[in-house]
Amino acid sequence: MAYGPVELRVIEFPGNRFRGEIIPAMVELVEKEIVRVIDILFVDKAEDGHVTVFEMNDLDDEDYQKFDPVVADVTGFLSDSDVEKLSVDLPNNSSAAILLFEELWPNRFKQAVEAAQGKLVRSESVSAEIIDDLVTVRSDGR
Amino acid sequence: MIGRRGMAGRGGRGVVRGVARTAVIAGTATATSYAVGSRIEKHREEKYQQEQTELAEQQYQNQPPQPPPQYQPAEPEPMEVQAGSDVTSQLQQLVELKQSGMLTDEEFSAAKARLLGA
Repeated sequence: MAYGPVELRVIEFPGNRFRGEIIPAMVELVEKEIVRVIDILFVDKAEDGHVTVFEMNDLDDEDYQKFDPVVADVTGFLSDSDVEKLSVDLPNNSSAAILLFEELWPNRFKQAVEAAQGKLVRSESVSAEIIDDLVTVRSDGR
Repeated sequence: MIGRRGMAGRGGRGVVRGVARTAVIAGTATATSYAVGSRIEKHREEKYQQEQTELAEQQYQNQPPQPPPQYQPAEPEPMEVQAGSDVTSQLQQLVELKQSGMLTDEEFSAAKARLLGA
């Protein structure tokens, strides 16, 4: 099966207090089929910098039941080495959820274009820096 | 405990490529997961390899220093005598000398004959 564009998201929280609190941010995206969560894991970074990895299956029942509807798959595409690299930048005494979002809307958009006898000939991301620059220039009246 | 899902391993190549810095992972919270074991195994393996590397470095340092390799100047290639082209260029010169009037017809013919060994 071919995947659509996949985005890596690292969501950091101070302390070790979160788990299910990020669900509301994900529900709408998932329900509207804008994204599909194809991998997820959680890391805690202790006061002394030690990192502990939590999987979906490590969550308590309450949190597991919150995440279950929004997580389509746990593919394992996120590897041990990814966790090691991504955990470096986390501050001590923090937690993070690491997710892979498969974007579903680009494929739907492409299909709609093709249904209209059109052809998608170019599709690329423009960085936020570029847009910020344009906005700044415009607001400066230049 | 409610029903849980099947899980893929995390031993793949991953999605983040080409970053040198890594954090040390103490372990996963999964009591039953092989991941804890494999992680510990990996640490042991890395420690063993590190010890081996240190051992090898010590042995290397104990060895007397090897003399640096001597620089060998390359032998000059013997000049290849290109008889054919030499004769041709000399003939060319003769022709020019004759055309410029330095050589008479007879002198040109004699030189040419000598050059060609005829």
